[in-house]
Amino acid sequence: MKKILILSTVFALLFPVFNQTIIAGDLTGREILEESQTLDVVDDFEAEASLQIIRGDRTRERELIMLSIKTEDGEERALTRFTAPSDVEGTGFLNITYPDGEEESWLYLPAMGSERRMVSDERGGSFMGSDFTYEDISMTLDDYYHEIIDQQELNEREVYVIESVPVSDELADDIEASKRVTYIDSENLYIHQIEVFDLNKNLDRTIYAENIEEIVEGLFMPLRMVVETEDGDSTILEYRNVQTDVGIDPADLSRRNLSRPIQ
Amino acid sequence: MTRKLKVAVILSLVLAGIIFASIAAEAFNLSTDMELGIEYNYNLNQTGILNNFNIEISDWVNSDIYLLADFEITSDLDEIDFNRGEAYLDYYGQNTDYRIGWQAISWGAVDGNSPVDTMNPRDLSDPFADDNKIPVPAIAVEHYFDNTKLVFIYQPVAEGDKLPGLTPELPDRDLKNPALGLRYSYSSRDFDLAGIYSRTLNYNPEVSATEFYFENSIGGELVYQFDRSIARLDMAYNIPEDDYQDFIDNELNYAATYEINITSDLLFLGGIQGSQSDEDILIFNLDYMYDFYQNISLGAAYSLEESDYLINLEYTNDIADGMELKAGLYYFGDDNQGDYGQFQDDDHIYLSITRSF
Repeated sequence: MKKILILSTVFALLFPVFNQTIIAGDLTGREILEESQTLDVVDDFEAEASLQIIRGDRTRERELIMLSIKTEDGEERALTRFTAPSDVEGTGFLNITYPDGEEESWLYLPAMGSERRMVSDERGGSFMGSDFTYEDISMTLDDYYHEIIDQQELNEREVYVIESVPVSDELADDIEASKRVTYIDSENLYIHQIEVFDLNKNLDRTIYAENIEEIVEGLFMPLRMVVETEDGDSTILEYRNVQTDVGIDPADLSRRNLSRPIQ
Repeated sequence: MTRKLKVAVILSLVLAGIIFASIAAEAFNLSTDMELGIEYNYNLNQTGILNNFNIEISDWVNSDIYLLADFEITSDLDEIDFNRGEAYLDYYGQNTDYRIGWQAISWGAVDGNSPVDTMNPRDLSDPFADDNKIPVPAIAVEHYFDNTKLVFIYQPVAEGDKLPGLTPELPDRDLKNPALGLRYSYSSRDFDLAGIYSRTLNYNPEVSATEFYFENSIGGELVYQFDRSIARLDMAYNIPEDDYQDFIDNELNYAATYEINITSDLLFLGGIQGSQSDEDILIFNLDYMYDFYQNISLGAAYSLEESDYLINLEYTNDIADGMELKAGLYYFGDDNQGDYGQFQDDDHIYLSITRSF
C-alpha cells in the first residue's frame, strides 16, 4: 500500500511559480529565497505530470493529475490522483498543511474502498522511493539560517549561492540534511539548482530546474525537474497543461473528491 | 472434463473477456481495466495453482453519473468460478452522492477485521484471500456537510456469509425486512470520530454452523493522529433480534491498532482484537520498503488464551509497470484446537504474479 504513495503532495510548490519582475538588488539570502517562493502570486495550480523513477536500468513511470490551492485561512491543500499505470490508476492522496506546519494526510486506494488517514512521515523521508523528500516540497524558511556565500556563473547565468543551515541539530536529524545550497538567478530569481548535503556534510543529491517557461503572463516555472543522487539514482518530474488561477474550489480538494472516480 | 479442456475453456474465457472489453471500450469510449493473475501454492498436503482474471468496465455518462461493472473468473483447474463483482450506478449531487447496485461497503478504521465492517457478507471459502467481501445489492446515500458525513445503506435482501461446503439457513428476508446501516462521522485535523448503527445477518458457530439471524449493532470508530503515529479503535455492541436473545448473549467486539513510522522506510503496527466471549488476539506487523520496487512485510497474530499464533512473511517486487510478483509463507503454530492451530495443515508457501492492463 505504501508504494503507491510515491508522490503525494505539492510538487507544484517545490519550485514555485516565479514572478519575472522581481529584482534582487540588495536583498539578504533569506529575502531572496522568500522572493523566489512567490507561491502567493497564484491562488491555485492544476497540472498533469509524469514522474520517472530511475534505479540503475529499471525505470517506473507514473502519470498524475495534481491540484493545489492556498486557502484564505492559510491552509495549503494538495490533491494528487494517479492516472497510470493501470495498477495504481485511481489512487489518490490528499495533503493538508496548516499555517502552524501541522499536516493531515489521506490516502485512497480503489481496492480499499474508503479514504484513510495516514501517518505523517519524517520531513527528510523519501516519497516512497522517489528522490524527492517531504522537505523539498514544504521547506520552511524559518527552520534555517540563510546566507549568501557566493555569486558566480552557472549555465551562463549570474547566480547567488545561498547556504541554508538548519537552526538546530534536532531539525537537521529530522530533515536528514546538514545544509541546502541554492543557486538562484541574480536577475530574475529563478532557482536553477539545489544541492542537499547529508548529516556527514557530503553532497547527497542535486535538484535541477529545467525548461523554465512562462505559463501565464509574467509567471514562470520549471516544467521539468530532475533529482540526481550521489548513488546514481534519479527522479524526473515533468509537468504538462499547467494552469493557474483557474478558480479551484477548496471543497474540490477534500476527502469526498479523493474517492470520486477520475473524470 | 479433462485438464486440457479446462485450460482451453479458461483461456477462451479470458480471451473473450479481453475482446469484449476492448470492443466495449472502443465502441462506447469506456474505461476498461483488466487484471490477470496466477498464484502457485505449495504445502506438504496439497499443491495448487489458482488463476484469476478480473475485468472492470466503467464510464462517466455525464459529469454527474458514473457506471461501473466488475467481473471475475477464477479457476484452480478443478473448478471454474464466475463471480460478479461490483456493478453500480453513481450519482454525484451537490452535497449528496448516491450509489445503486451491487456494491462493497467499507466501514471501520482498523486494518483487517473490523467489528463495524459488517455490511457485506464474506466468502469464507478461502481464509487467505486478500479481500473476501461479497458485493450486495444496496442503495447507499452519502451526505456531506462541513467536516461531517452521513451515510445510509439499505439492502433490500440481506445475505449471509458464504460458508464452504454448507448451505446457510436464512431468516425471512424481504423489502420490509432489510439489512440497514447508518454511519455519522466527523473529522478534525487531529482525529476522526464515527457513530454507527447496523442491522445485518450474523451466525454463531457455537449455536449453529449454518443458521443466520438478524442482529442490531451500535458502534463507533475513533482515529487519533499523534506526531508521526496513528491510533485507531473500532467497537461494536451486538444485540441479536427476537428469539435468539434467549440463547445468544449481547456482545461487545473491539479492535484497536497503533501504527508508527519508525523511519521513512519502516512502518510498525501493533494491535489487539477480541470480544467479551472470545480470547484476545495480539497483532503485529512490520512493513519495510527496501527500495522503490521491493517491499518486505512480517505479520503475526498471537492468541493470548490459547497461546497459538500465525506468522506471515511476504515479499513483493514491482517487476514492471503494472506487473507485481509476490512470494510468501504462512505458518500456523501450536495445537490444532486453537484459533490458528486449526490451520496447521495449511502451512504453505505461495508465489503469485499479477498483471494489470
